[in-house]
Amino acid sequence: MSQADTHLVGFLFAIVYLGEWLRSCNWRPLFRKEDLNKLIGLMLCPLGMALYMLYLYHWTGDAFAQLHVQAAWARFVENPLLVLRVCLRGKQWLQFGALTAIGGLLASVFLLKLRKPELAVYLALSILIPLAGGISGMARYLWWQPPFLYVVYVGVRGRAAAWAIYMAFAGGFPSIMSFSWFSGHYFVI
Amino acid sequence: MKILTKLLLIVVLLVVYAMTLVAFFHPDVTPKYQAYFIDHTLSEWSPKHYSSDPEQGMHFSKPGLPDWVESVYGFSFREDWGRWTDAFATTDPSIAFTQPFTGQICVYLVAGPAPALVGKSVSVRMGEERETLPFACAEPKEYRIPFHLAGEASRLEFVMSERPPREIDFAPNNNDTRRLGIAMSYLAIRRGSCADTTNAGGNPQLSVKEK
Repeated sequence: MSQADTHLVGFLFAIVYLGEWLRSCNWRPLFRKEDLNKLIGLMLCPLGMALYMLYLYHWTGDAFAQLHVQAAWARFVENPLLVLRVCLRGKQWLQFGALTAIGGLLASVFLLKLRKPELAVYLALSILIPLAGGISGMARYLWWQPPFLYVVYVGVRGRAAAWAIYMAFAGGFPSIMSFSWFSGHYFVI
Repeated sequence: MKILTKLLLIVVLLVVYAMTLVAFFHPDVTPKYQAYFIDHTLSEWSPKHYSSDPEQGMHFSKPGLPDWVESVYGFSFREDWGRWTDAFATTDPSIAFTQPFTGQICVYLVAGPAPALVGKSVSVRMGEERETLPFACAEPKEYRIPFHLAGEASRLEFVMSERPPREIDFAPNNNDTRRLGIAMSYLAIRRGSCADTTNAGGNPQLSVKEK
């Protein structure tokens, strides 16, 4: 919830919520009593972000100040495919970030195959939006995303060896990231 | 009653989102904020200014800006040799001065083109006057550009006929995503004719006269 307050998560979750709602009523919402509850639920999803934008507008005159301030660090919105292309030709950690993003997008395709289009769209947008701003921190945009964790669950379900490998990776990777953070490596942000 | 409360809540939420949309589409910011944070045309937010005059010139590699330059637009980050223009946000990079120039002046510029601009030319505009800056080869050269300003002009603009391509698209081995235009090392402005004056800033290296 705190993420939804200041991040795009609330907006993205609204897409999932809307998709799930429309699917559950065969794409024909009737706005009965229970539909009214669902409509309120949908409208509450991006409320935190909207209030935060109004707060920023009040203080700075710019509702998107949290995005625009990135210019101070020379970070601009770019074509995500261009960012991927540059990073794939870059150094190791850039390549790792690019491969992480590509892995996440493949997971979105897998979710489509599993007939979970809402989760697929949510995951793809959760990757593409930060990717437009650069590859830094791509790992944290992917590994904790519930749709991605669901893909992991489907992948390791009933496979003890795969489960063990994932657990070792899930434990080891944050350790490397934490160590890198404290040793001042720029790729962990 | 419950339904009324729910409808009221929906109306309140709609009002909040309507206000958010208005705030989103109508930012209430200063022109400087708009140029730097939103349009990305202004290259530095709050540069430090160092003591200099137009005749002493401006070294683009030196941190900050000289007293006589208010701000620069459409430039990339500073490098050891100077600064590239970057058409990411604007195809017409420019330099705004703190004081207007008028009458006959000579603009000294040490500059070179990006690979995509070799063999092409760029218009240089000051006030109503416009001159052509031809880039015959890739090496940086000193250019002397004469202007006869009828009125006051406080901005030097470089107008490119088309948006330069990204380096990564132009040169396959280059991983630079910037849209490089002109590599600028030095700029000075002297009153009088270009024929009357010696090299820019008295710098003996700047001896190649293109114009």
